[in-house]
Amino acid sequence: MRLELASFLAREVRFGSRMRLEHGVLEIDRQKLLASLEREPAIAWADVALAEPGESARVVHVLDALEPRLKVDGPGQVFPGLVGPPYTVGTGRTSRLAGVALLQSALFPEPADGLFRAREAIVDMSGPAASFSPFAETHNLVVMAKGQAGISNVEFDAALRRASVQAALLLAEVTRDQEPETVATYDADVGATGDGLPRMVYIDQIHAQGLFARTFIYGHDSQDFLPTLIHPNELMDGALVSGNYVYGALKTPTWLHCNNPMIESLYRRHNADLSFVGVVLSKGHNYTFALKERSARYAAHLAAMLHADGVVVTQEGGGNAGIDALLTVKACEELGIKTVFITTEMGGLRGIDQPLVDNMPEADAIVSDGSYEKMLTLPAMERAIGDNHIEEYGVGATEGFEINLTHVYCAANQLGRQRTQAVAF
Amino acid sequence: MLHIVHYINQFFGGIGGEEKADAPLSERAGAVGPGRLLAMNLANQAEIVATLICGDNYMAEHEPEVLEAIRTRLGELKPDALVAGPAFNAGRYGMSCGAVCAAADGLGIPAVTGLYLENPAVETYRGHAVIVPTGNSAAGMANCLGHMARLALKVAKQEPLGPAREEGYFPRGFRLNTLAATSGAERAVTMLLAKVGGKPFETELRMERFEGVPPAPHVSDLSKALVALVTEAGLFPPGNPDRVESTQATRWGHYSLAGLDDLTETTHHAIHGGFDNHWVNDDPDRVLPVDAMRALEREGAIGHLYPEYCATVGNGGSPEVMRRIGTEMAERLNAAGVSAVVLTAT
Repeated sequence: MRLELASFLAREVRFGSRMRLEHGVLEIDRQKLLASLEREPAIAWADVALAEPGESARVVHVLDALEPRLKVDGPGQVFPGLVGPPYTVGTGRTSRLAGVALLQSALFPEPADGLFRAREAIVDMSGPAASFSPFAETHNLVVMAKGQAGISNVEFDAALRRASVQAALLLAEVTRDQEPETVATYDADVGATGDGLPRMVYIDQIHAQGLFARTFIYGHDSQDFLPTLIHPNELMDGALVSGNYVYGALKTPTWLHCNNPMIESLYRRHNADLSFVGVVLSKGHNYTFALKERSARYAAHLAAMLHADGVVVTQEGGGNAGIDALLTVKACEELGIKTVFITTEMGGLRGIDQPLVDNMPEADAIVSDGSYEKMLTLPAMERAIGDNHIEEYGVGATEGFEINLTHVYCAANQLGRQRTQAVAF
Repeated sequence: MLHIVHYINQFFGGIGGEEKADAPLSERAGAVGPGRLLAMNLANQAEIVATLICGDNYMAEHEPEVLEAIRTRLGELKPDALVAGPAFNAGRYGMSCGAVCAAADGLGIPAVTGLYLENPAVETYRGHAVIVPTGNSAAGMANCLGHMARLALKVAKQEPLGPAREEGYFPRGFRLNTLAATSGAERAVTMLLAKVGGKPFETELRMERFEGVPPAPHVSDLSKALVALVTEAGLFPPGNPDRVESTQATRWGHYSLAGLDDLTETTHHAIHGGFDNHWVNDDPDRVLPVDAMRALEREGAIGHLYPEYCATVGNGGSPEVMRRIGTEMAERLNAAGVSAVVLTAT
């Protein structure tokens, strides 16, 4: 499968009278955008604001983040299943508005506690938290919304998702008939012989646990599925959309599913040092040990059927899901497939606690994404977007306060995007 | 000028060889033996104000008194750092150096020593001292002292040490965040290529063995025992009065079970951040089996159900914190005469 990804760079973003991209300046027609969002009957009120890199600004209650992408050639549309029928995507040509992200900022109408609730997640556009988040570097269009009276969390979640996906497409339309900055070609084939290059498979273990903790695969909430095959290009076209708001630091927003760093790194060496032959999609948080083993062995077996010489395993979430991931590593190694596991660590505030939940001797090749159990002192910000108050910490949204890294958006992303690494002292 | 105290054994102290291993603790002003080379490496930033010398056997046989005397002396001298050895692969000398470093560390005085990888003192004392890896024998003395001096100066100045690998010391048992040169994803592919290609690679995280917890002896007569219920399932009276956190909890609470035979969605509520609580909220006995315990009470299978339960949330719980919480719960239950606990976990 071959996909051309055309990148259009927005160096500057502002609200204006039209939707257009000209000489690197993205102009957004605010009224048109709001009208698009408010077309969702379940949404009573919507607003949009801009958060720029380097600004003294904080975005709170961040849910999903999306990159505006548009399919200009080939079957299907970006975010298939949510937008149009679930045609298989990942071939032809897709345009992306690089340097721009649509961030959702909203509170859910019904109170919730325990596992299934959206936890606080913030993006600081400057200061110490900025270096942890990809979204401190993007021009962010923050979409804020409130649901109609009496609406349930499920309905609001679905409405916000539909509205955001449409808004992302609306933004991406500005790239049509424009000249891209760069065009990258992604061409990988399961059947490729690769001239003796080692065959590498990527096992992408995603979050699929329940409301607020799930991923949509071709538009469908997939909470209980056996590992399956997917082509990396399908992820670039938004086949995976995130509905995961449980741990802001550890989750994979839609933006990162489309810009998966592990896929990018494998493609970078593809046909040079290795042959990237496919992705196995699996889920973590399987509820019994038997189900965990079943999933781990199934994923490893799929990699073996692809004649994988090597596998990289990533997970989304950690904790319980870390056990599924480690069992997957073990299952691969038992089949003779050399495996690398990349993961964030726990370790506690002082770093003296166990870094991982389980002890698996077969996991002898681990890359560290850093520890997320750390505190960070955030400075006061001039401006807060999304709310005046952060309930989780009982502070005003522009105040300086000590935050647990767990609540800094994508700060402990498991896909290896950052250079943060925990080391022995 | 910073002050250093140096600890060495009878051999390096010039007292004698193995036959003088029973030499008691003594002190000399300034640097002695290898201390002189150490002092040169400290240049004009620090001086060795005293050298403490003890026979390896004497230390092994009188450790508590010797360490107490050393602590007292360190309290008087107030050095900015202590340097011990290096002991290379010497077993008793290594353990003495480690113990002296730990004593200094306990007083807030940073300590540096030098040991060979296989010296058992490394495992025992790596958390209490900055241990420089040395060669197998004293042949490497000069190199090792240079390295030890460099680190001693750093800790004496209270400068933070960099990662173990960079600065050259045995990891002390904790991990902190740093910034690597390349992204995690890039490093993962590089590591995978090396592993698949049969080339050497180094894992960034080594799997640790979990420590075993020895079980308590069994209860001799359960029919007379006071048994308590404890849970990490995050089950609390409605409103979570002690505001225990749903994840990474630092608090716990104890709540009355007096007059309760059966738990319901009105009596208790779960707020655990790691599993779907609705199964527990439908019937809290599923994680806190009060109904089953009352039946056992009536049958005489247990003496009594302790009229209070203890609860916290285990989700994302730091082992260090949970050890404290467990200890506090145990102290309370022990004081009440509880002899057995049913601990439920999710």
